[in-house]
Amino acid sequence: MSGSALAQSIINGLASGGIYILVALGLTLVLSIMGIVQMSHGEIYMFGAYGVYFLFASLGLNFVLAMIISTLVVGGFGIVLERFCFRPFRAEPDRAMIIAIGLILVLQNIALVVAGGTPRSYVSPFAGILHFGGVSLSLERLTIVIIGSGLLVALYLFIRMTKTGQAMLSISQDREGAALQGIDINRISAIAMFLGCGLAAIAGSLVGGLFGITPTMGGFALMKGIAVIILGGLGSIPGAVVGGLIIGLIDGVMPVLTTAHIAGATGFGVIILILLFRPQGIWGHE
Amino acid sequence: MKALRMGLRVSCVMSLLTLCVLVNAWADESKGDAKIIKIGAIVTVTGPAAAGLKDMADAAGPAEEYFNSKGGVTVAGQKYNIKIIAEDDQSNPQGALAAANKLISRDEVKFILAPIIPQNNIAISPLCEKAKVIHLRFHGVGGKEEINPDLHYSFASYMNLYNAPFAYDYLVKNYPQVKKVAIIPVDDPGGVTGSEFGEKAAKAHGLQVVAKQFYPFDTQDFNPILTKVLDKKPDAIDISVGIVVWGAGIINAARELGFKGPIFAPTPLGDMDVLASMIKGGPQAAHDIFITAPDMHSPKMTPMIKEIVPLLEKRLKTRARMDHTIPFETLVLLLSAIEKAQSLDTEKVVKAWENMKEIDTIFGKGRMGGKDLFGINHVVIRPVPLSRIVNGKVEHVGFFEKKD
Amino acid sequence: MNNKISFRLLGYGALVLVLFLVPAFGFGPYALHLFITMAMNVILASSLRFIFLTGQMSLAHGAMMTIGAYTAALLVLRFSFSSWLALLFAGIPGAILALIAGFPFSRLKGMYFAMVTIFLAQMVTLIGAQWRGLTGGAVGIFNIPGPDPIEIPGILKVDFSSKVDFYYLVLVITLISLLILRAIERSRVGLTLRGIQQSNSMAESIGIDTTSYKVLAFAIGCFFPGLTGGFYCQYVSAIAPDTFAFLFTIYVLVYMVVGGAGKFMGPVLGASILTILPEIARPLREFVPFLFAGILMLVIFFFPDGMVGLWRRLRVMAIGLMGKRVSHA
Repeated sequence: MSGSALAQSIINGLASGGIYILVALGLTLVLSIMGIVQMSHGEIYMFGAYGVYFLFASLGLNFVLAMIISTLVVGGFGIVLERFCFRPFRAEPDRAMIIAIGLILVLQNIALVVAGGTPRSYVSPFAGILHFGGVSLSLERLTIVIIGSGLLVALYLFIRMTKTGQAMLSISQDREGAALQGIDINRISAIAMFLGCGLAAIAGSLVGGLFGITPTMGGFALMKGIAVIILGGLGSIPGAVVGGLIIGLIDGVMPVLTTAHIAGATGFGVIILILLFRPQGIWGHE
Repeated sequence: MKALRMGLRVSCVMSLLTLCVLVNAWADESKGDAKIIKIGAIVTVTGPAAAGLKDMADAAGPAEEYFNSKGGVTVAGQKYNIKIIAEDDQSNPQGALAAANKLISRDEVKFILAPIIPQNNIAISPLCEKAKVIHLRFHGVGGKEEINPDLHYSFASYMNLYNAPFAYDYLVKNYPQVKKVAIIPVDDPGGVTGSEFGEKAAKAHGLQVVAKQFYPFDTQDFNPILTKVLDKKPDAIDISVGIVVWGAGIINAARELGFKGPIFAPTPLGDMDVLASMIKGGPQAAHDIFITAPDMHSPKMTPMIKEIVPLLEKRLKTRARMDHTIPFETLVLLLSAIEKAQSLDTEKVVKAWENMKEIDTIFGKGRMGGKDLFGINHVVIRPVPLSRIVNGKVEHVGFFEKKD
Repeated sequence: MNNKISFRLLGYGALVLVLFLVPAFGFGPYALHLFITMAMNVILASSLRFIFLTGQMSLAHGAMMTIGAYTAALLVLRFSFSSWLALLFAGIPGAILALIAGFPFSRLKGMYFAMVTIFLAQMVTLIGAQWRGLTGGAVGIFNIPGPDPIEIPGILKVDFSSKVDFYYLVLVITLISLLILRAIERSRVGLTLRGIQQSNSMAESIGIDTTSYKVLAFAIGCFFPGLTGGFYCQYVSAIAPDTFAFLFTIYVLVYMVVGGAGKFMGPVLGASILTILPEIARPLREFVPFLFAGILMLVIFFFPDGMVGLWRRLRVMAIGLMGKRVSHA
């Protein structure tokens, strides 16, 4: 394999890492920090994508406006989900998980019935390809990395610096203690779901524009999101960055070195290996 | 109070179950009409593959309407209308098996429009053989798992394996500077077999295959694979076998990484318009792409397609796509065979069908063949449409036909 | 007390008798196929519950079934094993994989454990498709022969040419599997597993090696889908790496939950009823998953003990009503 192919692979890997981090952000907040077993996170991501498609490509709204509306609507839907599907089972995560699985079936099939199975795509406003040093990078991917990074920093600052963010952190570390301190867990959970689902919607619209929008696109988001969280460490945002980059690089470089299957299996294998030696993930706390 | 709540919940469940039974019973009532041939169809409306295969199921109704309006089928002086009984296979072999069992045992069909997913069709083959039920699969890239001398009742409406020479003919004629080809098939039975034929055709045309790269079903990002492939400096890319999403993914990744050469596929990936809509970079990037798939709305299409398209658009209230023609393509063949045999006895139909030197297909006159590749003449050979994408628009190029 | 136990035994005995007599009622091939599918699902749901006894929600059942199916197929086709030996050994590779993977996995809880079993399942599919030499690649294996004929001169000759023969075979396999699972559950091992689910920390504090027990449960639970896969490949004669995909596993989970994960008979009930349901609901076509999800939600929200819990409550209510009548008499 030539040097330029390797260089391109690394760029591919970093860009993929950016995608995975973006995709994992919402899940990090909802699952990793707040402990809501939102297994249907991928379907929220998918709805965000269809929302933007509908508003931008069908109705012709401005792209940014379409994204804002879609994000708000999906975030709102997240609040409804939290209130009716997850709050009653906060003490029983197993049952919550099964509800989430039920949601996967329902949401996917709603998309299939309403939107049909034909894949959708739209012309991204960030069209264009950068060429430098023998390597290519599409503006669309670069935008994802930039927006992803921006949201990452914003989320990190939110958790560290705002009262609500700090409340979320205390809930994740010690739920009872947080309640005793007077933190309204219901309110905080609702906010977390709003933000988390909103982040998923943003991720869905951007990545959906890149790869195409189908009713089953959510599986990808869930898999990668969970992989990032497990690898990077539960409850950790810096961990998500490291996890995302590692998985991204594996996915970018491995297929060039070997077959695509072995590359895929390697990705999973690495996660399992890390779990063997460091069960809390790279950056996680026990 | 508690008993009342419990009672309410129980009645909820009971009514749900009763509803199911009622719906089932109501749907069955159509057994009354006389002179009807029941034709089973195993379609995919739920499960992971449903997104891509829903069109086929939707078009079953219009297809039934179309053929009945043309007088159905006449056997031994008796006119028959057809009735399609479609059952879901849930995207997996077990579902297909349950559907086939139901169609054969309860509905007593003798003809089945086979499931599209190869593994599902393979799963129902033993059952159909035993029950002497003809199952006709839509055109595929399959191999001997589905069509072989031991399967007397399995037929195929075409096999894309015959397309490769046509695609490569067009390639060398229009792009004489191409010397090296890369083949990128999906890793499934079709991809494995199809790419073999692609390789053969490439070599037969004096081209060198510099890469043959398989990718798994759930691939979203094609950049890594294309990086590897483009490192071998191909002049043309053969997508071989895949669906629209992957085809678009490969095209987009290739163009993004700077590949300017022709990208083609000797099998129809899906609807050409949908594919064209997914190519990034605007009309100027959608160049030099050609695929052996029909341009459904071209004025140069066959009379039958020209009749079907408006019917579909009227009934389904959506633009007609290639997959909508599947029930039409399979039914026209089946009905022609039944009429040739002048019998509804499947053994007789099979015998007559295997020997038909001429048969109506949606792309013109065809004939039975397949002995060369599969050992048995259970594959329909018909003209193959080729379309290309120029400036973001789909254009019909022509029809190719296999001689001999 | 003794009366209650023997009543129950009588009830189960009668049920088993009826099950053996089912083909005599003249059910057609479609119905028999459904019964066979039901039986397979019962084993799957019950073994899933076994793993769940320790609080681990495994979503690798589909992959285990795939491994079992391939094992049985290859043993017969490549190594000329008898179909019976192949069936016996079918569950072993999956169990061994579970044993190995179980250790790193056991450190994860809840949804994370579930997700990581999904990853394992994905790896199995990918490797299955990649290792063409062994598995036939994405094409899979077909023309797998059915079970070897059983011949007891003068008494029995079964050549598995009819569905009825397969029905009896799967019935026997199911009953044996259920008996084994039940026996383990009621043994000391089973009680320990239950204890771990109740409170991991308490179990640890009395010196129980919870990790080993969890892995053991995982391994035992993964043996049975392998066995079922072995039967499947002899029944359907074709398998591929993605035959038992994610949705398949999810449905098994639904059978278990709707039936009631708390009681042994829960998954049996759930699998039986929910196997039939999509068949009855065929006219609903693309809305069948909504029905499924709807029932799932209904059960989770309103009938947390599942159908088994519902059944119990109805029985209790019925006995209560009868009791009232008796006392008035």
